[in-house]
Amino acid sequence: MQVILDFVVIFLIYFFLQILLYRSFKINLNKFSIVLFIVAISLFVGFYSSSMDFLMNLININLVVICFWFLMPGIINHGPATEIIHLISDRKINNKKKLKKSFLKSRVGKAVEKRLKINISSNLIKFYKRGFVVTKNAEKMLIFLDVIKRFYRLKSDAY
Amino acid sequence: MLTKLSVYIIFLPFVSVLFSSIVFLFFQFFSNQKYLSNLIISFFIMFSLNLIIIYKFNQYLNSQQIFYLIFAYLCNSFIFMCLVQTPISSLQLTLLRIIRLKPGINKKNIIKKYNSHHIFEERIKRLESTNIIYKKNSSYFLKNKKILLYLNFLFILKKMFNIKN
Repeated sequence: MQVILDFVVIFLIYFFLQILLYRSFKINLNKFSIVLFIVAISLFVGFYSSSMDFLMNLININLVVICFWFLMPGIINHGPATEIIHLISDRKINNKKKLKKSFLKSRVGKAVEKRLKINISSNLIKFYKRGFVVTKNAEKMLIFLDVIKRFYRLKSDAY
Repeated sequence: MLTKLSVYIIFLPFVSVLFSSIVFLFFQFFSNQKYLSNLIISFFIMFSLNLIIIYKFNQYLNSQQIFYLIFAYLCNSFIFMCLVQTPISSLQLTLLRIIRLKPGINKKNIIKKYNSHHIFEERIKRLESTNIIYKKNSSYFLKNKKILLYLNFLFILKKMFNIKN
């Protein structure tokens, strides 16, 4: 039981550290480089560890770090579908025309511009001859996600 | 010391998610349901199987191991669901695809091709097809109220992180 409590304490420390850093300094810990660093250190430590309890806690902590990495972008910039549900359920806007008007007025209405900025700041696209081109990292990421899409026969809404 | 049983326990959540992904693939091929339903069904099938394994081998497992088996499976499943969801609905990825298709495209042309009007129509269509909302006399209403749990969870996190809507 003590080991579970240890894990819960570590989880809470990590969670509240994220909140504190984001609220006070707008620092987002959920970056690919930081996640990779934590996983690499854990792999190194885990390799030399012979304690089962420690190893299980280490894996759980790493999984939490990766889950946060996936979760955080959705918290910072919630998606258009979430905004539509929010408008229908909380603001009680049901009429399609009014719904669209409110959607376009909301922050999500500027989603394309915002995502473009995020793509630039995370080095996924760069300027080239007055336009945008994808970087090598983005190309690799697209190939990987396209493989998943084809393998599981998924259909995206656009492109 | 790591025994054979401990090694099995360590790898079980990862193997379970691998099997869950195979079950999902099977459903994608042979079921007419939407991918989200297939994803949820495959998750619950493997989760139930995990619980049965835990119940069967209860006498050999301590509380820490049981906690690990459940928690690691839930985390791995969440990661897998995100990986499946990303190629379908990520706006960032859609923009990357547009730019990859037309290298050198400028912001104006991107917005011409893909803007908030398109996004709104796409999302309304998807929400309708996944039975989350329904249309009645040119108005939309929530059909599946369970989605509000997710919405509330998201907005609580937003408040905690002090992120404005």
